[in-house]
Amino acid sequence: MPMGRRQKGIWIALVAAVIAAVIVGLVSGVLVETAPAHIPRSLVIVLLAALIGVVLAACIPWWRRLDDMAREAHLTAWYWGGSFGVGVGLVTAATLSGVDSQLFQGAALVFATQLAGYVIFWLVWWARRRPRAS
Amino acid sequence: VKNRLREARVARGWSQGELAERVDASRQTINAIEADKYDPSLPLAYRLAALFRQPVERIFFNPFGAGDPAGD
Repeated sequence: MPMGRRQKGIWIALVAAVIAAVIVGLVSGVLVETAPAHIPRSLVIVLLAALIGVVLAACIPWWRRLDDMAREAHLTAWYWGGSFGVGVGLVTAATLSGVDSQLFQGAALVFATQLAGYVIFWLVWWARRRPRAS
Repeated sequence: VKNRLREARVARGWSQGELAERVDASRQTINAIEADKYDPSLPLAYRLAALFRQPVERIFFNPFGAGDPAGD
């Protein structure tokens, strides 16, 4: 069955987003490895976070091309499947390496930042839907 | 929600894919709505209703018991 114009647009937008993610990943890796020692790590982290923002922006055309059901599928899968997956990752790291290991601490950091991102987006989502005071 | 989408689509002689293209949705979405496996968003329900030139309640049945305003 030939791919429709709409479906083709979704794939093109997805491939563009993945290419942007790969490029940003490579640039981030180079930055982390080559950043001079006198540059504060906090500044490097802010710069890398901004680059991740670029990746999110690159995903917007793909997201806008999806219909209601496809978006709902991604949101549900990311929330429930992602939450379950990160939980399994945490207990696996703790079981195999112990809670004092770098592996577990890295996994915990990923979980904590993911949770922080979730809370921030959740708050912004509700704030943007507050009715104006009359 | 239960609906008459399949009936309306078939009456026009459209495939699910053709209907999907007309409302900028995927064929899978149309299929799921027709099978009552997915409730469309309000904008998509209105887009479908507008395409068929019918009030939205003529295509999607109110599951909370309100009667069909068209009297069917």
